[in-house]
Amino acid sequence: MKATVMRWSGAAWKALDGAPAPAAADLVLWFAAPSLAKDPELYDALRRNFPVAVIAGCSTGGEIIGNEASDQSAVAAVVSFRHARVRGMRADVAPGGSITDLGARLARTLAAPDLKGVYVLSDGVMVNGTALVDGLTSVLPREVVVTGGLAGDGADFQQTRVGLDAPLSPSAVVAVGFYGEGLRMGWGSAGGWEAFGPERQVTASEFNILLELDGKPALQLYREYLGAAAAQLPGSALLFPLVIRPEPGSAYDVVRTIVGVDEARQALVFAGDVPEGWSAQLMRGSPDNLADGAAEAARQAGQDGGDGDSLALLVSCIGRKLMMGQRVSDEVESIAEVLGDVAMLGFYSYGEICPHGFTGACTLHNQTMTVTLVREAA
Amino acid sequence: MVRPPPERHRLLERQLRKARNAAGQIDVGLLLDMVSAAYSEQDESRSLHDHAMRLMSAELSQLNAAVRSEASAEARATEERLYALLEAIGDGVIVLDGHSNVIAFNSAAEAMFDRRRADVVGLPFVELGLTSHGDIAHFIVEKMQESNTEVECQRPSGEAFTAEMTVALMTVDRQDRAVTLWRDITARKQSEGALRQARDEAYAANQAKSDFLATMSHEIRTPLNGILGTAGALATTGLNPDQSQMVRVMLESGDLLTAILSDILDLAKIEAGRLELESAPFEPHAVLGSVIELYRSSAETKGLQLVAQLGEGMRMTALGDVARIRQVLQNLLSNAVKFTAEGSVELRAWLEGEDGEGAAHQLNVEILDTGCGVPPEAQARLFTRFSQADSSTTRRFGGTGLGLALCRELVGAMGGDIGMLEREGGEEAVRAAAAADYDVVLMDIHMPVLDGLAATRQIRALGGRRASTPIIAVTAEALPEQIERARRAGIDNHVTKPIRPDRLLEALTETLCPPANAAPKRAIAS
Repeated sequence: MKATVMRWSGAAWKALDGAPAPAAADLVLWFAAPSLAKDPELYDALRRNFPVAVIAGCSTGGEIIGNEASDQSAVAAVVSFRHARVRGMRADVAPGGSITDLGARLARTLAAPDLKGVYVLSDGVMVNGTALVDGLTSVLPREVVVTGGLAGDGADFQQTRVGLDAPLSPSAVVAVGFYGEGLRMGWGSAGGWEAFGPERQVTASEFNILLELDGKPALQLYREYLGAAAAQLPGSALLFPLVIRPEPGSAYDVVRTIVGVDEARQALVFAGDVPEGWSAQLMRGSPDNLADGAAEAARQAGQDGGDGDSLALLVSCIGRKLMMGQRVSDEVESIAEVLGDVAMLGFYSYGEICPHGFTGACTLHNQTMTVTLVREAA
Repeated sequence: MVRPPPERHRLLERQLRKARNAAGQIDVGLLLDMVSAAYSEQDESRSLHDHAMRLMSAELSQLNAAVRSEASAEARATEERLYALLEAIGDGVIVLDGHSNVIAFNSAAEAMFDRRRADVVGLPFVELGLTSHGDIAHFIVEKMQESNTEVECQRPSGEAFTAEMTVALMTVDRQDRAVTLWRDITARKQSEGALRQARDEAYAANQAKSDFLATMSHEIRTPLNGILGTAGALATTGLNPDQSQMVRVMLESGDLLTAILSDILDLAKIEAGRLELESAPFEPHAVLGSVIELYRSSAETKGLQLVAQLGEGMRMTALGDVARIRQVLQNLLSNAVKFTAEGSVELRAWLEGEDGEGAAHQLNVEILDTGCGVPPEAQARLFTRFSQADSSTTRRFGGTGLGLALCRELVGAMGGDIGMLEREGGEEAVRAAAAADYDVVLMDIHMPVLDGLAATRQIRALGGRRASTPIIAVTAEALPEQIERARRAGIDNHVTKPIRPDRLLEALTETLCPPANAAPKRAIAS
């Protein structure tokens, strides 16, 4: 397999290392800052260059290419396989429709005996990521690796876009199936955040809407902790992710991040479910710890070795970028140090999809760096 | 996770790269903007974390305080419940922990030891000086075996008192506890002492009396012998009939006085513990026979039949004090002859016990007479000193009233027992009721004996008209259950002693002329 990463120059797509783009590509994945994501020219240019490729992309909260995180850019990876095949499917979110059913429908369409992995790009503000993953995994066998992420809208949480073989548009979910016996899909996910303060109980919630912690309005707690930064809600809430567990001390923990606030109900809207009765604890991060977390994710993804060209697809959380500021590239560099000479492309997301490190079951993550390492045997 | 040290300043490297324009020159303004932004990012991040840590600390200390106050409230409540329990105990309660420190001290203990709870709780028991025992832990373990232990205690004033202590070891919340209960028994000890002293004094006084009586008896006997000897000599000097009569009265009175003195002396000896019994071989048959013969003539003079029935084995050789046995038998026989106006006096004797060499035997002697008998209420007094069945008896029959009491002491000293059995004529009443028609029978039933009830049952069992003769019980006591028992035996009515004529008349009327409209009791009962 051959993988090349490219950047949008403002008028054309150019390979990062200046090399010419492969002429026959099977798959193009691309990620664009919200302002560029609205511009149909970016897709049209890709289609012109790669007429038969499956082209899937989404809007972001930041882009990753090579060993650097960037803003206000558009990036793409062009992949041609030796034997493997890919297939894309798109579903649109119907108002009031079930996201779980949508996920299951996508999975049924993609399912095949040689399906090795599914890479999912989903609308980031209209879709409950947990429900989507539930739908996908209800159909797919455990050994099919499901990774991906929710599209971003900078730190604005207004409108995200996703597209398959078409310009990006709101309210879509795209899934790309990877087929072929020679394919290896490595995955890793880690945060680097640390929990602090008392363990609280989720005393009132509705799916991904958190109403109360220990009987007090959830928004009030965040306002208190954010202090002056409360003015930047909901974006600033990303600075304090929430780790949730079925019960205090449980090894099964999932990190949740905030994608919106409901002032009227004094509630927080999360990218995934926050079940009532679960234990919740605030988390804090530092650039060094988050970069260490990213390196850990890379180690997990690359632990089964492999040879030949490979593509590392990175999905990191918008909250990490917000926390790390200019040092956000530290985490990308950490991954590059672990994986070595590998084509890297990724984006800052509203939710990462990856198997859980402890249970192995695919789930929606927040505030993590997830790494999907796609390789094809020589 | 150990991070390899960055070889260069990563961020600054990136900032320099980004500040370089297409010509490769560094835009210093842009670089400074980026560096400044990085610093302010850092400051904001730090201040956010500082703020969060302050909030978290406040939250945690609030939680901690809440947990602590909850725990201490619970501990306080438990302690209060425990104290309420301890306060309810009238005895002093002191609870010690595994190191013998006082952890509870109730109000009763405060009052008993004159110490305030606040002054003793938390201190080692041994340092409080409450008791004369230094090593209380050892003492408690030692005294665990005893239910009640007397402990000498003291109050801060130096006042000493005796307490009875009970200890129980228990484990509370995996902690060893010794619960000690204390009761001030000083007053009880004092009253016990007073009782003991009174008893000793009474015993000493009795001893003095016995000594006095023994001495006096001896002292009186000497001149009495002189008087009797002289009077005996006087009787042989050819006196006229009036003078002879006077001398005879003098001699009889003297004999009686001698007998009284002898009995008093014997009793005094017994009381003083100075009675000595001989143990010599004798043949009961010979001893009893000779005693009977003593009363042969006086019985014949009164026209009484004197009978001796001596059972088998009476001819064996026994060991004992013949003089004392004889003294008892003479006393009993003389009474029997004295108090029997007509009929007979019979002595029966037999041996009881195992056969064989050296086996212990019991000599049983029964003296039966057809005399006036002894009323039940007098029977209890019969064997006590200076009393006869009736105080009027002395005047009619003479006697010291000491005889039977002395008999009881002597028989008791010989390891035996003496008593009397009454054989009244119940049977006579039944015969009379069967032989003739009576309007009513007044049945004297000595309730504790129930003889009258047995007679009543026999009359009711006679059959025919006479079986339903009305019977009125005459009783000394009339407890409800006794009346009920009498009714079941067939008694119709009862009057209590002493008999009042109006009550007797009332009972007769009730029994013989019941109101015409009275419903049968059986009907009411059903």
